[in-house]
Amino acid sequence: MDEQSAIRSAQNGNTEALRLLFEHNRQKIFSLAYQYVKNVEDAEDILQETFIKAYRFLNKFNPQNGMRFSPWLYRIGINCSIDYLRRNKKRKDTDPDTESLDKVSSSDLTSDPEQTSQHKELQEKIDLTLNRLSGRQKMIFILKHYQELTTAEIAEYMNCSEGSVKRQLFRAVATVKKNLRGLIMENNYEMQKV
Amino acid sequence: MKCKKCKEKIILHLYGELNKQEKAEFKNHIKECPECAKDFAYTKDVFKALDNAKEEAPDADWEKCWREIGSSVQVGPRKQKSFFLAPRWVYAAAALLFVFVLGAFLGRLWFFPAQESPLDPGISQGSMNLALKEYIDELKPILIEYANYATSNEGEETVLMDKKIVRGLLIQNLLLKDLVAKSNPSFIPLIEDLDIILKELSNMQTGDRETPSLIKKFIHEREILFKIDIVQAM
Repeated sequence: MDEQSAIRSAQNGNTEALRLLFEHNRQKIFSLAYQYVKNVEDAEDILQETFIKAYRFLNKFNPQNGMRFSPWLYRIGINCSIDYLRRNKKRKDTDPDTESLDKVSSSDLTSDPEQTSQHKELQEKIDLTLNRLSGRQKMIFILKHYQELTTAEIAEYMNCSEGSVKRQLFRAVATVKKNLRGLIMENNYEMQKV
Repeated sequence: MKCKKCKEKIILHLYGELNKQEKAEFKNHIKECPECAKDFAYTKDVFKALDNAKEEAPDADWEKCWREIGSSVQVGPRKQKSFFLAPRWVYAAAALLFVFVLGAFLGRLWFFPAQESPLDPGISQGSMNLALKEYIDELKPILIEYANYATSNEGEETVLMDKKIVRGLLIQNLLLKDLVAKSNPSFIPLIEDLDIILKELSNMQTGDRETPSLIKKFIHEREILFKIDIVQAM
């Protein structure tokens, strides 16, 4: 079954067709959610929420209007991620144990201890810095830096102008640069010339 | 290029979002400005650090996720009935149009208050004068009779008017008063005087001697017959 047929079937209430759409798009949505919340369970929750919402609003999706399913779903995923983090920010802020456990990864047990420690420190610093950004700024930064979208694509997904995306991105990068300065200088990252 | 602008170009350059011309301008500025060159080098280090710390998303428990989704979509409503029958922008546009029309209407009332037309649009000046003359022609013989009323006639009932005729004349008087007020306001006092006379006549009872004398006096004092002649001469 191709995507168009699957969408039409899902619109008629066929959950098997929805499963097909889920299998085709789950990795992309989950990856975005994970980059955003840095927690597997939360990213799974976002993934589920995205598909439940998409199914409920599937009747509004009309490919004849030039809409494409994947970007449409991605946009729902972006909104679900921002909402999810906003809803759960308080809980996370008051539960430090959850956060510290989330940081433990399998790489900690296999790599060189000194390198792992440096890498972990850098990762923590980056996460801390990104968490200081507003929800939209953080999302724009992730879409640009990690998902490698163009500013035009981000503007389309975030329903704003390219200028607005650039302004938010400049602010986000400026904050990251400011917060990582000490750590980068300390680790003697090589200065490069043009 | 100013240094502030260059800071933005550094980011766009590293994300590969500068066109050829922008790239050339950016490189020229970096060559000439050591501060921006330093910032460019540092930004590259930051990007390198970010890339080093980039973490691939681990595998999710896809089956668990699907179970949750599947159970929710089967229990949940398939079709959400929207409260709105048309797309929301239609309602927004309709509201905007309503506000515009209301504004235009109120604005017109405010800046161009309606001017009363001198005459009812259905009645011309000529028809108005004709109606007034006909009314006066009908009323004049009665007024002459009362103007010539002599006390020697006491005991005679000739002056008692048919009530139906008087009421008809009163209605005509009322209608003419409104029309005269628009076309020829100078006749209003006459119409008002005639109104008084007709009301007295309609209330007059058989054997009443006082009212005809009062009407006679009123006609002479107010020069009603003279005024009627003027109307008829128009």
